[in-house]
Amino acid sequence: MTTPGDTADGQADWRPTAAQVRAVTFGALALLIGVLNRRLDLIVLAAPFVVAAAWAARTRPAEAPTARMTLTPSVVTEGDLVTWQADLRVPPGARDVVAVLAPTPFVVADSPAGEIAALTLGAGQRHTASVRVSTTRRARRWGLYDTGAAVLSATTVLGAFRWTPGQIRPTPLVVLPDKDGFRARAGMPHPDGVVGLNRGLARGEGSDFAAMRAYGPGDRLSRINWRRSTRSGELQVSATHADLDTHITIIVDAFHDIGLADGIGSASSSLDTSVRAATALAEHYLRAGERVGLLILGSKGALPLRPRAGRAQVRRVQDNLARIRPGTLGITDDEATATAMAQVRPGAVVLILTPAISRAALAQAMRLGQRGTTVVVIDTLPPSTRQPLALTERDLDALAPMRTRRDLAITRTAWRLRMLERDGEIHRLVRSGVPVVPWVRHGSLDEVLRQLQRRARAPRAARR
Amino acid sequence: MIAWALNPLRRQGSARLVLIGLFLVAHAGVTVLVPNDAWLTLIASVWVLVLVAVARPDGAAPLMATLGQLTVWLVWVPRPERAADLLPAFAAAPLLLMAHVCASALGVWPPATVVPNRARIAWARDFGLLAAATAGVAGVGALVLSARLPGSTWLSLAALLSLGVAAVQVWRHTA
Repeated sequence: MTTPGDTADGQADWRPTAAQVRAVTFGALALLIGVLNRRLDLIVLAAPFVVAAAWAARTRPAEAPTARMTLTPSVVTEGDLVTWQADLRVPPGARDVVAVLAPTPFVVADSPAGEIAALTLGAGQRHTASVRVSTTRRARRWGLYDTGAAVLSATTVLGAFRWTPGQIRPTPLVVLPDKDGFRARAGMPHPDGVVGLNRGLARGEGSDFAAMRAYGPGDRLSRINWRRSTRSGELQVSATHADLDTHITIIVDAFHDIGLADGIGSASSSLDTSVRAATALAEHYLRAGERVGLLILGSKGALPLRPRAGRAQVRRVQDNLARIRPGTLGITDDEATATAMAQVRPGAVVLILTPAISRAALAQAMRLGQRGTTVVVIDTLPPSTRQPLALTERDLDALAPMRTRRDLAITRTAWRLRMLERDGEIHRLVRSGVPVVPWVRHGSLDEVLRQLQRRARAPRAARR
Repeated sequence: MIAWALNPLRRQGSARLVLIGLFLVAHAGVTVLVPNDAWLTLIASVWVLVLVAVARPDGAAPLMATLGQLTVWLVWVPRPERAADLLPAFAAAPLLLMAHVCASALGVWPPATVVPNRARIAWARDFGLLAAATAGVAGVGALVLSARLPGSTWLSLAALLSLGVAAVQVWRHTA
């Protein structure tokens, strides 16, 4: 077997096809019967087959082609195009080159014809020629895929002889999640970093005015308020609140993937929404100078991403999200979940993206809230699945694969009950002080962050 | 129901549908050329093979269908005695050739392929060349029959055959 990127150098020979066998068999048989029975009409019938067989045998290429297959690029973002191509050196006599690609879920051509690349060489070719067959496909959903499995073949005149290097093995393709639109005007509730854009509680270098005070050693001259200083007769400076950054931990609940997933631009499942929202949140807050980390629950092998600042962190977040395999860690794997949650640093703002179906994820959110961490739960359950009575047969099958149509009503009733339970669980979470907001792209977090900011500034009882 | 039945045809793509149509027309033409008193069951059997060949053009079915046509021809078409008797064979030969070329093309181009224009032209030209060569062979045969040259027909045909084989051999070894 050959892999894209490998070369197939004369691995196979030109073999006669069914067409050549047919021409030889029919031609020989009709000719023989015609001669033996003295029937000129049979010889007339045999003539084109004999000529076709002789012509094909005469023009059969002496050597096998060489081919090099590539798949580019190997890392793309959702909605981008991937090109599979085979560069061949074909000897004289080869006529048609065809490559058929095996289908890959969510990496598809825009039309069925796009799965096939075809090329025809000129009849007058006298020397070995370099040709390229290529086909383009669109990566429609984030994730890791094995794509590019193909069958390549070249045939001679009248399809009489065929060369094929065997089945070409697929290569891994990483499809990074695209980002949802997201903008937040509210700052973070309790910034505790070194430098950033959020107004800190303490005074220091920043842009937000805090108070006027007398000039002291270490104050910059540019901070002196000359008008106030003239009136008071001594030097006064404008004190400001320190601009600090916040450590944000984004937690993606990958215990379940609820709803239909048809790829970008079509129906999105809960995990699609979570992943695209996580990318948008990470990009927005990293651009705002925050430090962003990522934790993934329910996916085997997903390593926690420690908080960092900078544009490169967006790519790290996308890479980690693309590697999610939902439901590979069960909700009973409390140890793995607890280990992941232990990575959350004190003082961090935790954004949990969850369809709120997994009790483990909700329990962890409540536990973090009780520990004093600022937690915001972002509900990513697709709106279409929140109305059990409006679910179509396809929606229900995506929730729980059905064996018979009788399962339809059972699934609908079960989902309805689950939605009622879910409402109760969310209500308990809100009562415990953890806000739950639906993901609505722009401004999803504005109101809740303002409330958290107010809560952070409010006086609170302290034990002495 | 009809839409479901048409789905496999839709998936074939326009180029293959044309080829399938030509393949069926060619076999129908050969069937029409056989006298009407031919045994219907045998013709029906041949058509079953033709339809199987449409479904699996890259297998043995097209060969079986062509051999079936040969059998029907051998059994029901009388031996030509005059040059005019060769007319049905003159007509049937390009039709069988068309069926052969269509089946070959169906084996080369998978379903849903957008066949390049260059390929269409090349295959049509190949068919034309072969049909012309067939006309040449048929012309020589007609001449043999009409001229009624001295000597046995069997020997004439054997000579014709050996001439053809020799020509092919010479072509293979010299070019």
